[in-house]
Amino acid sequence: MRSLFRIIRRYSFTAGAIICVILLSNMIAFFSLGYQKMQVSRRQDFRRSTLEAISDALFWENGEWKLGDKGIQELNDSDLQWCMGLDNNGQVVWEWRLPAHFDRSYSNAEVAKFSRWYLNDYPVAVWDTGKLLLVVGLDPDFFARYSEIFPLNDIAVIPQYLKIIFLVNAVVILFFVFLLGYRFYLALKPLGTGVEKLSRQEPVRLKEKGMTRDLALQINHTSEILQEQKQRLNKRDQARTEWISGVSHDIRTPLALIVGYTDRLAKSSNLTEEEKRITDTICRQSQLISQLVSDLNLTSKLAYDAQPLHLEKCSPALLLRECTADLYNEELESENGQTEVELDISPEMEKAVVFADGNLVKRALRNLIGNSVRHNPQGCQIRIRLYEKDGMACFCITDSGTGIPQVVVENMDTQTEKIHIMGLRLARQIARAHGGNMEFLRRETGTYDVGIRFPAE
Amino acid sequence: MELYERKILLVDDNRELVEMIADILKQGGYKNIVKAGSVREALEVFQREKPDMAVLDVMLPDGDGFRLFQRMREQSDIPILFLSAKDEDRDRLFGLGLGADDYITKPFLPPELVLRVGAILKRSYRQEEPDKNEENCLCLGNHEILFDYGIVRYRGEETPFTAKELILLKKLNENRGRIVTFDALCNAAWGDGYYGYENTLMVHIRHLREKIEEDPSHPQWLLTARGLGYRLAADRGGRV
Repeated sequence: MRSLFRIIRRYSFTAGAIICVILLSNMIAFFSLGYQKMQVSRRQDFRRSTLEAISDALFWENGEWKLGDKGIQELNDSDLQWCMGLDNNGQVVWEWRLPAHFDRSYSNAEVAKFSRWYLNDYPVAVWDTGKLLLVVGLDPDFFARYSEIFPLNDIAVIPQYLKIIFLVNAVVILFFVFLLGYRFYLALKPLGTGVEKLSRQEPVRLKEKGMTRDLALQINHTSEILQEQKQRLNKRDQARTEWISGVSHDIRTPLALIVGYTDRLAKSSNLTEEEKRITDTICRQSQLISQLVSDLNLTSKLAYDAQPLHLEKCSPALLLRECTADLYNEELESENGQTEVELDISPEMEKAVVFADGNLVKRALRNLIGNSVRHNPQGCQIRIRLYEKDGMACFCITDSGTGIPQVVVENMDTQTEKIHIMGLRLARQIARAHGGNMEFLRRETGTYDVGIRFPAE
Repeated sequence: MELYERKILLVDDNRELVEMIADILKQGGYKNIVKAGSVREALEVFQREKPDMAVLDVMLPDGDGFRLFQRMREQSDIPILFLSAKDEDRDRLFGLGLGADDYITKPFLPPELVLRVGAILKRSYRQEEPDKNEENCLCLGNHEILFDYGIVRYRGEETPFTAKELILLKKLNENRGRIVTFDALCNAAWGDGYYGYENTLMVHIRHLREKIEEDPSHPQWLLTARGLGYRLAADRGGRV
């Protein structure tokens, strides 16, 4: 949801930025264009340059006003339609291309009128040369004449008005940016929630309407596909788990017969040494099969989440002692080998608590310690250290025997038929299911010891 | 009635397994054994023979052992033990939750089955036995321990146990031959939250040894399992 808010915020900023950029560029364009126009109109400024040039070129000679060559040149180059000079009495004393139907004499009222407006539909400009009043006619197709009087107050408040207009505009723009942004946010919000749910593999059902209709449709469709796949996977996992569970169940009854009768055979007194050794081996190996079968069952259940963890507060020290005592009571007692287990529990671990499935933790420990026992039939010293490290309860199992060979450590993650390490894998699986892990510690001899850790409270 | 004369009903659809269990129990001293292969047959035999104990499989061809258990319990309170190929905690807890006396998973060790059957029979029928003393008496060499009186008799001299000593000794005796952890002993004597009682436990064990051992500094019966707990030796000496 946070990411969605970020999108909206960015959208608003972008919209604001776009508006500012456009306003600014408009302003720049306006001013630069205005400046250019001013440059151009200065070049065509007939009032100043042309009129000044004409007035300079007019001279009095032989009782009449004449225009010098320079003035005529200037007039020919200009856009002026006609030109005339009035004396103080309103009489036309000099003219250039003045149409014939124009009066040659103007009263004061007429002069005042055309100086502000038009003379016979020609927009006119006037220029006082000092002795004459120069009147020029402009091309009515190109120029308009307009004259107005403004109250000074109105002009003074223009900057004020500009400020208010700018402010109001800004407020309106911001209002719309945020309104649209918010609507956009509201429309996207369910989509965001939907995508979040998708990532958690939860079913999603969004309303398919409004501007996000197509997206909602796609998300709903994706959700359906995901759910379907999940169901199919679950079904397959379940079938596999049930199959393994069924097989392991079916193996148990015949195994019970083998174990039961071999035990009886082993106990009968009239066996030779050789026969005794054989029955003992059958006994031991049947126990191993039984262990493997239950490991297989548990491993498949843990892998497919078919076995819920019964999490409760347990003391790792207690679990370790119970597990070791069980090992002594069940296995080591009957062995002839001189296998001994030594526990080294740090004082803080006596008080420590792990939140775990006690039976599974014991199962993992039992597998690891059992490996040491089984792979050292001549007997060995097993030392189990329990200590706290990085908030984890760590069990480190070392023995004076052969240790775990390199090939086992290398093949923990590969499927190989060469070695049988289901017990180790199960121990690691149990640790991982609790949020812990298992690690191998290299000895100087090149073989390994094993450590397993569970998160402590 | 002798414990070994108690009638035991075995129910399992695998005939060979039933035969073997019967063999094992007979070897263990139980002579009176009746068998059934299905729920229907089991109920018939149950009505006819009135067994004193039943060992039931959970998966039967015409129903499940849990239902059979309930049908039997409606009529009688005899102890019932489940012997099942289902090793899941869920099934085990369900069986025990129904009120079964024990739950053993296949494959099992024959001596274990005999011991468990014996323990259940003892627990269920002890009250009826006239020779109560025999059950609550423990002989360790020349020391004779009378649990009901909380005393130990040695060369005609009687020494009483304290309450805690008696609890600890009982706990060890219940698991005779097996290591009982510090935790289990402390839990039995002081209940939950026993942390820090280990030193106290050692003191009690020392006192116990003074009462039941010939030479308390070289114990023959109450043995220390280093780092784990204690063990009441099943026979003289022994290694841990």
